[in-house]
Amino acid sequence: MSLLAIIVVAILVAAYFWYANIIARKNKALEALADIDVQFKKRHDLIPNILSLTEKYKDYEKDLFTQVTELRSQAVANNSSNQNPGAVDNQFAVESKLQAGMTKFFGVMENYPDLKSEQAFAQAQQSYNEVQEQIAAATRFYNAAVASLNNSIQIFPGNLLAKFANITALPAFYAANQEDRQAINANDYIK
Amino acid sequence: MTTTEIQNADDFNQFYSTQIEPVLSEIEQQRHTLLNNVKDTEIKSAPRIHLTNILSVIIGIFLILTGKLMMTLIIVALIQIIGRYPVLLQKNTANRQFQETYRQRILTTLCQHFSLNYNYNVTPPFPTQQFVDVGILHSFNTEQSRDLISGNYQGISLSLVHTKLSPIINSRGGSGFANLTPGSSNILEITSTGIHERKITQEDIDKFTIFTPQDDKSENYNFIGHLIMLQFPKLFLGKTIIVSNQFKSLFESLIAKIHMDLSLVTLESQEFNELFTVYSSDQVEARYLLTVSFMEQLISLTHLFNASDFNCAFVQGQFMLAIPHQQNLFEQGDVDQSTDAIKSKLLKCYDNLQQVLKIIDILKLNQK
Repeated sequence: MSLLAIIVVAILVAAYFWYANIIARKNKALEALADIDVQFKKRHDLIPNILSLTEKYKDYEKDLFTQVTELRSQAVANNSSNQNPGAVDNQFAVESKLQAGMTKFFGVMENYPDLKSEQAFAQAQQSYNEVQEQIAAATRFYNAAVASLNNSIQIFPGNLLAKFANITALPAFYAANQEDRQAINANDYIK
Repeated sequence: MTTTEIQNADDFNQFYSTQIEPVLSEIEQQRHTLLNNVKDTEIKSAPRIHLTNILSVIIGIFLILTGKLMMTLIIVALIQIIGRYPVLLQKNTANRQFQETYRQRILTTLCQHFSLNYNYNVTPPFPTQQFVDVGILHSFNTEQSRDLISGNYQGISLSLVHTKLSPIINSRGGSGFANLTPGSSNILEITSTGIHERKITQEDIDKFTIFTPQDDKSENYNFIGHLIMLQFPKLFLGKTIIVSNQFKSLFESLIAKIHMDLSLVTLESQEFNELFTVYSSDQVEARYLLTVSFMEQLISLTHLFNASDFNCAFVQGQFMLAIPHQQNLFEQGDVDQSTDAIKSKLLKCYDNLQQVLKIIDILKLNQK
């Protein structure tokens, strides 16, 4: 009887430590998510400045300006403190689109030599690149924390404890667009 | 040979033919004079050397017959040294003069090529103490530094020096940790779960007292190698320390004592993680600094210096790198080497300097 009690207590203690470990990993992942959010917000704040600096080209690149503005609005609307995996995944998808949109925007702006020589635009572009690097760093931290959390809640007995504590896996963040990640068809380029 | 190596070799050949060869032809005259002086002394000393050889053989045979083998070796060695002393003295003087000229002319030209300054004597002093304060070097008693390369590269202040540090000696003749006994003191230790305090063990004491200086041998220094300091215009808010896994346990206590706020950073590169352990006060900033290309450069530096036991730190706008290396990268060898040997050593210097500067190129912190 006493042996059974010891085994039960040992299992409960082990389960508690396992549970505590999962919670610690979850908190770390949420902390990393908050770090990414901060960097996303910096990007959101920077985009209106970049658009205002390039306003004189708005008439020539109307579609591009509209696209970037819409993507930014969507990203700002999605940038909430919602920690639901679905919402996080959606937020990442919108941010990826915004990033791709901004890359395209800077690419198009390369066609205007006057703009390239403007110091204010060069500084804004540099600040944007800096924020992009900060996002990349925050993403690496987040992905590492998420990988650690997901491993702990997908491997037995972590999966049982996670179900008990209602903890679900968080999605990893890959900045590249799904379209960019698809295999290249060489025939599209050889004509 | 990789494309980069070919490019480096091409750059070096151009630099060598335009800037080094004219200087080298000037000092070649002096080198030949010094070599002739050595040869003259050898010729003049030839009868004396023959006489010492004959004397060594006679005395050697006599002593061997009397069964005193150890004494035979000592006396024969003494006779040989006395007989060859003028030649050795002349060669030593020639080496010293050649090395001084080489440093003053060739290394100065090499550094100027990279818009850097070269000083044989390290004045003003190199801020070695800062490496100790951060925890990537042990406390030291005396410092012998030379070959200071300093200057501004792409807006970043760079200092590189070769240094020898001797440990602090206490009254018992050991380093500061030799006074400790197991359990007499508490130390802090970083583990994956955080920072813990525990009693010092004999193992810890042994680790910290591995160097007991008795003479001027290299093993009696607690550090011999290159120290590199880069000062960036931008301040890092956090502290990030990269410790070689070879010295991980040795440095853990030191780092934990100095930086209570550090936590372990696990990076993506398996190869990097096998070589180094990273601690930082800011997980995001650590990843911002330690990009994939920077990690690759640190790995390539381990191949270049043939050492994986180096530590570095990003603290308060500075990047500090301590690379243990017995041989000075800017050592040029003896007076009697061939011109090809001089060229190949210079190529190595050129490559080494370029690799160090590449750290700045990769970090790109001057552009941020």
